Amino acid sequence: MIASYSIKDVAFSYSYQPVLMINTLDIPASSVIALVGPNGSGKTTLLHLLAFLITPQKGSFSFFGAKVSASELIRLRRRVGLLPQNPYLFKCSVLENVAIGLKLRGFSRREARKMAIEGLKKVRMEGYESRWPNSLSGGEAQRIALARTLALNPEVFLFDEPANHLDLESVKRTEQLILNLNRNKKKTVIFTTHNLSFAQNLTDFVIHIFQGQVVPTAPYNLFRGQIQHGGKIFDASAVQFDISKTTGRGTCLIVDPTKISISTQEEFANLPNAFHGRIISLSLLRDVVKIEAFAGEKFEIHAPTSSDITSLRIGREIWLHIGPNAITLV
Amino acid sequence: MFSIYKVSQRSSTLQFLLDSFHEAFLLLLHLDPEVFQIVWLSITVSFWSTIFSASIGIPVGALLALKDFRGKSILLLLLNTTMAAPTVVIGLFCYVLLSRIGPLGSLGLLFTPSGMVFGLFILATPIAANLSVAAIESLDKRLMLTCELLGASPVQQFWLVIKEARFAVMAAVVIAFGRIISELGIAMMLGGNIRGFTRTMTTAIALETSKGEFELGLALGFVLMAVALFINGLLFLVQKEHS
Repeated sequence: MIASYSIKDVAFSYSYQPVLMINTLDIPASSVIALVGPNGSGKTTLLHLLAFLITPQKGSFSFFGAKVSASELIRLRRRVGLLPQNPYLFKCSVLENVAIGLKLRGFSRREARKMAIEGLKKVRMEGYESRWPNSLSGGEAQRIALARTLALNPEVFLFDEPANHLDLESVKRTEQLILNLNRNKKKTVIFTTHNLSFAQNLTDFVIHIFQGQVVPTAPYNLFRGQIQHGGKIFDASAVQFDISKTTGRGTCLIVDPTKISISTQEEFANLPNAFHGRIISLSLLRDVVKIEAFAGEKFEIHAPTSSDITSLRIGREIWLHIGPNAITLV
Repeated sequence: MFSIYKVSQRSSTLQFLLDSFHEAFLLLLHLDPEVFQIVWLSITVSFWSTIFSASIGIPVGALLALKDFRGKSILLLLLNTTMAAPTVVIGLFCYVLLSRIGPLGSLGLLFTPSGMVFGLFILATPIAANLSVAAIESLDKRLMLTCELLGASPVQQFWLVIKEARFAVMAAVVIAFGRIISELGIAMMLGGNIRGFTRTMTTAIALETSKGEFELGLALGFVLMAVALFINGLLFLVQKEHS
């Protein structure tokens, strides 16, 4: 399968502060990908890299098999469409705003207007053509910016937090739009989100970003600490484990929420990395139950809905066990 | 005796002023050719000076606002200093440039309307540039990112930014025009106040007043005030549209 993006050993820094360090990342063409991670993890920076707004300071970066070069950035930017989280609308009519990107690409005024009207129809904003941005609500402005991106009909769509601050109906509409772009038009769609269930509903796979790196599991249960006892044990207050079992060394530890064993009995009491705590919240995702438990530290646990979860209640005592395969150092 | 003298002096001064106003109105009403020629020259010279200073000042302002380069702070400081420089100093500098022995002397611009345009252009360009810098720097920070993500080339980005700042940039142009049309020192030094050739409203007012002949001076003063009112009205409309 052709990769829309192929990234190898790429690094990017702002003022000597590294914000992105990606060893390997291949994004297949015509796929739907979610970039998930906490605030400040580098999701938006990665999205800007994929939109050719920034160029990596080192490493290899290809787009549909062709190496990305700094001299071709403008041409490449015209092949992708990025919708920022908080988009800017120009001080002109809605129709002009939607048509502006098309005019920059050399479409005639007439063609651009025609395509802009089509774009507005796609987001159900017909009749807004002559309105100015200052007369629009936040949600309407967001939809105009979406129409502007759709009208460009790029090969790759990049959405920064498309479900942010949207009501349930709008989230469903956005989900439908992303699926339509991918299934009917075979477009590659990449979006950032904090909402794992939104990501899981739509994507072929989820890329977890943490501290500028692609990490193998969801970046929940993050523990910062330092290596102690002659480099044998990573002590992050809550969790301890033998670092000789990992190849990487870092200052942060992630516990995979799907690999935490839970019990309402005392069965793990004598095991290392076993914790006694209390359930503080329970929520049902698509095929997992998300459990938040406090056991000295707050843990997030994902248990399959097929497991015995009927005895779980908020406030109930719980025993957790973190096995060595649940832990990753980044 | 003294108070009678004072009252009669006051009444004669008032009468003189009223007569002057009356004469000034008549000059304007009858479209006096000399008044018309002076007003026309002032507006023409100011128009071209504004066009040239805006053509250079706005792009320079945009570049200063958008690009980071070595020596930018010094350039901004120089521009600010030029903006605050006394007009007679600018006039003197331009006089040296345009005089027969100066580097531009061969052009023969001294004591011509074109020479006045040159001097006024030197005066107004820093104003247009500085106000454009302020206008563009106050734009939304997301604008440049939006231009880039829409695939705009550097030239397209430049025009999109100026288009977004158009209300403030228009205000800068209006302010520059107002500054130019009311300028006296440069017009006098580089134009020479030659009757029927380089005499502008401000130089004519200065000359007529020094001669004690207020009618023409007042008539031109009214026109100048009307122009000032028009410019301020335009600025008000631009700002209202912007808000």
